[in-house]
Amino acid sequence: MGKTIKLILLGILTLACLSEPLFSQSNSLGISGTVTDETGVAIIGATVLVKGTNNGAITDRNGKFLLSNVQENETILISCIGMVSQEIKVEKKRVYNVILIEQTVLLNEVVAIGYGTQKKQAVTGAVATANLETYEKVPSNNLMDRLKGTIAGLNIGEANKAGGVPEYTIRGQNSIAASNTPLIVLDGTIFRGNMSDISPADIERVTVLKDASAAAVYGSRSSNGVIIIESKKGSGIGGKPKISFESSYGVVNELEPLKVYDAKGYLQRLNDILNDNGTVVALDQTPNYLQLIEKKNYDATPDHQATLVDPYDLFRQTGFNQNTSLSVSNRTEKMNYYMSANYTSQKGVILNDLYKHYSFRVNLESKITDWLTLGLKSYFSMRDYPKDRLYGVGSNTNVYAFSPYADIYNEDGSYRQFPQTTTSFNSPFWAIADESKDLAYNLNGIFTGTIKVPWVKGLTYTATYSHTLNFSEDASFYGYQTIAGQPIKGKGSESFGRSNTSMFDHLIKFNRTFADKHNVDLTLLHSTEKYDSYSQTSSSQGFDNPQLGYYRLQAGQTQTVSTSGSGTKAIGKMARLTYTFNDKYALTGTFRRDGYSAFSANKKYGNFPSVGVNWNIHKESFMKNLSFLDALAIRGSYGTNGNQSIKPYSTLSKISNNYYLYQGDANYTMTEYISTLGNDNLGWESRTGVNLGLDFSVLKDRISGSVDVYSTRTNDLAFTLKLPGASGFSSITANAGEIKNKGIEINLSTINVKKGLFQWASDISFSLNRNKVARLLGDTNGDGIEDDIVSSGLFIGRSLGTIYTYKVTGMYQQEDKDNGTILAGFQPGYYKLEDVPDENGEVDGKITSDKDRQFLGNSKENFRWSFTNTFRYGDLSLMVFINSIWGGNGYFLATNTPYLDGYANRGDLNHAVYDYWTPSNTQAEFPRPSYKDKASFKGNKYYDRSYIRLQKISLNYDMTKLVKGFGIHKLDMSLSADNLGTYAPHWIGLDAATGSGLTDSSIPSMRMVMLGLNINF
Amino acid sequence: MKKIFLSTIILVLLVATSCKEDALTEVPKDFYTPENSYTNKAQFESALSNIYLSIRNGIYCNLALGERAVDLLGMDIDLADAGNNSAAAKMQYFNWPTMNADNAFVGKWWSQFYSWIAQANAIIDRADQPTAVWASEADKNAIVGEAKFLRAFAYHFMANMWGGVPLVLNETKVPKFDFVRATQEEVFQQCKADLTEAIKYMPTIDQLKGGRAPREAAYHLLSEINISLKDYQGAIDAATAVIDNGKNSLMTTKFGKWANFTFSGYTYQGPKQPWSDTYFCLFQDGNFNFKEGNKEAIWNISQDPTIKGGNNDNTAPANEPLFAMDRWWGPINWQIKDKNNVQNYLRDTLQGRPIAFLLVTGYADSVIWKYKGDFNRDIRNSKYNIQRTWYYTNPKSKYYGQEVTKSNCDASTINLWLQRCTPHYKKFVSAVPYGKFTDATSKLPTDNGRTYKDWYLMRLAETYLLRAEAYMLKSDNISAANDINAIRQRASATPVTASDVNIDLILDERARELYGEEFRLNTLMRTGKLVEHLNKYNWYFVDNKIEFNPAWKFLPIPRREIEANTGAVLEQNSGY
Repeated sequence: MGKTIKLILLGILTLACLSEPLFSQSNSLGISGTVTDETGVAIIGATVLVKGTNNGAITDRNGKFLLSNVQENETILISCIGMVSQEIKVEKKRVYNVILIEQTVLLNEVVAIGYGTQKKQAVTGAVATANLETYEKVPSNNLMDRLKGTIAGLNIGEANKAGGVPEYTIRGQNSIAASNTPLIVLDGTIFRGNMSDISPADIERVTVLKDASAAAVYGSRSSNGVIIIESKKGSGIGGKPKISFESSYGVVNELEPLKVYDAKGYLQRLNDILNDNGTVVALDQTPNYLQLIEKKNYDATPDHQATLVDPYDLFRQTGFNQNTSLSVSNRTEKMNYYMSANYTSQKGVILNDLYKHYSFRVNLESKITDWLTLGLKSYFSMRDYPKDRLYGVGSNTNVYAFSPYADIYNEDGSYRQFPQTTTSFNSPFWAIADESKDLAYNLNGIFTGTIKVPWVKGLTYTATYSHTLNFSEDASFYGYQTIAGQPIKGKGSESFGRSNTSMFDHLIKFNRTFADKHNVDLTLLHSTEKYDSYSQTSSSQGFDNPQLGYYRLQAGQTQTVSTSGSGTKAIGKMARLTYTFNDKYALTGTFRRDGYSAFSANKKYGNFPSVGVNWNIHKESFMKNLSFLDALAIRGSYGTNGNQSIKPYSTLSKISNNYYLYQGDANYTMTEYISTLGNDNLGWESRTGVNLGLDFSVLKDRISGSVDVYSTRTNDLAFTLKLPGASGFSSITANAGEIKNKGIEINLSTINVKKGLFQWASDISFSLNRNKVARLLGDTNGDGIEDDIVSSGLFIGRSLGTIYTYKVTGMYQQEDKDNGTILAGFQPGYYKLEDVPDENGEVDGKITSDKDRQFLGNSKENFRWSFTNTFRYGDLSLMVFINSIWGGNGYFLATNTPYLDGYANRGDLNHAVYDYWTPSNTQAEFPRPSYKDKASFKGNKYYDRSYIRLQKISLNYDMTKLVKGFGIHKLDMSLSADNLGTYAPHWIGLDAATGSGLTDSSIPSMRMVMLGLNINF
Repeated sequence: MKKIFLSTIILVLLVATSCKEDALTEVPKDFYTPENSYTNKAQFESALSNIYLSIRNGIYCNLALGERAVDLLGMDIDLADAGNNSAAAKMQYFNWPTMNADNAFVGKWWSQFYSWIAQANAIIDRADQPTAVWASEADKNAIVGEAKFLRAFAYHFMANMWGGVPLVLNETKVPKFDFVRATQEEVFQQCKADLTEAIKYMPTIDQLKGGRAPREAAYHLLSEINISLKDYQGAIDAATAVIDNGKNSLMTTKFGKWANFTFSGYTYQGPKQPWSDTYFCLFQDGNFNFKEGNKEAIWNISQDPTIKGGNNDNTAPANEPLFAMDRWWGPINWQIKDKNNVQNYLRDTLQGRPIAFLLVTGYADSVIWKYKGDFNRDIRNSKYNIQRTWYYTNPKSKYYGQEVTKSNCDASTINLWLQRCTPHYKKFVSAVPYGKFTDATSKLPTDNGRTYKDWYLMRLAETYLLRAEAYMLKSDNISAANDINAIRQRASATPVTASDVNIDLILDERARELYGEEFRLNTLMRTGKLVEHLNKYNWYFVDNKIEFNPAWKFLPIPRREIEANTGAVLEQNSGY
């Protein structure tokens, strides 16, 4: 293996060598030097550039560089990825030894804060920047996969379908009815797209604004937090273009293989179900109860061989994952550019689960004059999904239901519609369209012009115009041999959707330091956004000749067309002033006023203020004696955000139309009525919160980190409020209620060992969030106590996700029936439910919904943590990333109900193997098959989903040294794995992380093992 | 410093003037709004049509399985019992003994009626707004009059079923949570006021297409309202205004499309024979409307599956037919198997496709027909109008053509027998149903498709019975007997005498004449006879000896309504 790779590489290198040497040879007028890190290890590939010129060099394998034509008083800039850049003024001396410091030093960073950047010392809110480099060796298909676990408080879920983007939230659940998804800001503008439109390779930096004050610059959109994504800017290598090629390929398998019953198990289960439902049959007589086709196949061989040894194998596949990206970039004094192309292809573990993504990016920035800079950031993205995935969630085409004795094909080789006779189970192959597509295109351009007002130092004006075009195309044709097309002689449809978003931001900034101590940073914003969308669907059915599919919908007898359109407008104004004294104290005040067309008539505008302070304690004279302390700062902030989740037109009164006929008319009469009551007073949900933070760094930055504690309350939750029927309407969305969230987040980075060539560094992140419903609709029943909304699972004083139901205390057995301790309505093999005693300690001997339901816990997790270790020895490094969500105290529960799904009591359909009760398997985990159909009180057993997952592991070999001199600046090979294993002590089923149990809706999770290559020319 | 300020101010001005704040007004693109909808006569007529549609679908075409629709028409009281074709036990749809504020039937009708009222209020209010453009005052008055009639139609049900209810007379434009109940008297007075206005402006029956309410409907309803208000002369006058209008009259001979209908009989054997009488003709497709020559018709719903809007929106075979009378009300005789396990076909064209959710009660099957020994005389009980005998229809059966009896079929229990062979009122089905399709088993084009027919909301026969009731209450039993006899005479039934006249006779006559037509629940609650009829004729009450509950005089106010009305207290009716 190694040899082959080496050979391939040599080939590539030979080609690359044809180019001329990349840095200039020594010159008697030049300077030279060595670049090392703090431990004295030479840094290879660092860029040494004379500022304002193209004159540059790259350090060699010994960290040495040579530069010619350098003038005295010129400045040289030494930079390297992962290190803090340094500038040195050229003096008379000729040799410069430079020590670059690693970029782990938290407190010296400049961070993105929305509409600008700020020195970390001045940041007053909870702002976290993701450490992308650590994880970039593990290829990921979208940014959220890459960010998982890197920032405490940014909670990222699991995706188990090809092309899936995991769900993500920041700091707990703030809303019940409205969205909990954070706002995404890409290159300074509101992102209108899908997270997978953004290629991770193009991303320079991701910053998360977690608290109310930091997010307040985005006003009415920010109550779920903000994720700021910045794409790469141009950078070159020694004044020459930097060409970077990354490619990875790997296999995808089921994390936990899904098992369905084989022939023996299928017959046993059929027998169990027959017996359980009153048809008492001996096991050897069971084949007589097989369906026609099953019986035929059963009798076909003397030893009753199954037609399908493992029926689920029909749909199981080994997937793959492929990522390739190529970028070219350069930076000169007047101009920098970054261009890239990316391709991702993924095949999941179930048939027809496919995904492709193509994207292209161009980022340009040009300094036209001293005072004017123009820029363009643009990308095009195309996503290609399958139309019909075979995750037959609860449908009549479930891939798990195939019988081991089924017939897949008809005599003519086509797929049989009813493979095992029963007409309530269609072959999943019949669910797939003859031809289909589901494409999403996203084209985005961001144009910026920045004017440095020449006569006022520190004053700039930036105009940013961005335009996003989203286009989608969705077509399908279901022919005669499909479930959808068969009864109506084929069915086709074609939809196009288009949306345009344009944003125009005017930004005025003034940043100046007065008297060397007083820094004033003022930002003024005026922003307008316009969005409009249109969609059109044409469909047709009844095709005499279905050959042309959706390309000739007019061939169908019945044709329909529908169109729709909508639009919004938004206006935002924001002012932010930060005053920093001596880099020691910082005070920020922000005020944003937002107007949005979808807001109701009387609430078109909202105001969102915030304030924050930061105190860099370590700069105080009284701290000077604490030599181990490198940095210590405390932050405090308070602010308000909104949730702009009101849908366009949802507050307007609407007309609906129907048709009626008067006898004697040849044609219908269109009717109309007011179907929706307008609401002029619906406002947005608002979140107000306080955040306290501590940033520290000790022992020469060997240990650094931050701790944040927060408390927020979300008011004016959008609720569906019931209206008296006398008004003629049944409900309206109104503002009511309050949710409280509080939590703590810790990020910690340590360098545990640093000795010679060996280094061991760790990153730990921990977050904990608690929430509580503080108010709901008030006291409507007049008992003086705030009402719970039991049907929605909302209880005053309890967390969202509270579980209120019967408690399963065990399983009833035959002896319970025999000795009469079984409750009425229960049978052996049913879950035993707790008969809750009343206030006198008496039980009433029966289960009733009003008396016996109880609070069992909460589906929210107790805390999340992740732990990343990076071991480096010379050119070898190993990254191990462990991610965990953990319950405890009755938290993070989920149901796992194979006994309640659509097929639990169906002997004519297969099922995922699970442990059910029978008279001879009395210690089973789950109840008897007939439980679903017969039990009058069905308890749900809840399982703790706590898990620790080996999320990512990557072994990386930096081969740069081996290829030095072939024109290659960096060569990296990596072997990595995603989702290697999970420890979930309480969970039964496929994956605790996704909550997949053994039911008909469970989907196997994916495990990827990949080989990656990374070359910089 | 000056420069800073200057530059900043210039930039701020530049930016701030670049837009206006009222740019945020939403302009809908793909849906209509009230602002641009109630602006001319055609649009107001559309709004009226929607109320007619709501009435049709709400009363006759509701498919909610738990409710079986048609529940204003006497099911689960005295005319029909709830059957069930799968479980052995019968079940009730609105369970009287456990009637409470959470009852789904109560909640459904409360909001249905208020939805009609809200639609009428929108028309009445918006007709006077400047945005509404009218060619003439008369145009406007006719529209408003019709809306007021429809509002009164909704409120009269509410007054009878709940007593006093909140009187909402204007469009609700902002959420309102402080409704209070008016008295029952106030609600009736409002109905009267609305009807008086309606009568002034609504067109008469000869001017209208079928499906739309004419002035006569307003008189008819006013007659009932006046009885409730104890203004018996007013009731007599209102009824007389219809009876003597010179346009309407009872049909006394066979008429219309099916007057000469012939049929080979239920057995499918033997020659075809004439198969109709006057009463049969009243319920056949194409005969329901005044325009179609039916002088008895006052106001109907309108259906035609071949035209959009005619209730044809649900044509896929898997869906239920939308005319619920045909579907829910009748036996499932095509499920009969003979002793050799051979199942019947659904071949009888007069069968419809009922599924035995509702079965005729003993009261409607026999009690009412035995009056004055008319069982075989009264044409309303003829074989054309009620089928009581069933035959084997499958030629493969040994019993083909023979009558189904308890001994030659597989109906082992009385419930099974009732579900399969209960008497069937033929007025619910059509002589030739729509959309017949091939029976999957027999491959014969015999599966009986669906019934879509117009159906009477008001018929002149009922106007006579309303006047009879008013005469009786005015102690003029002679005139009352005359009105009742007008109907009985047409049915060839024995005339009654003045001394026969009492409320029970009128209720029985209503059952005979208006079975499945009158709003039986409304009638029984209006006359205070609900509890008595439940006790006497409802199988559940009879079997379980359920005690009289005085609370049933009125229905409970739905709990949801009381809870949602947070700004004021809606008093619950006593006993709930």
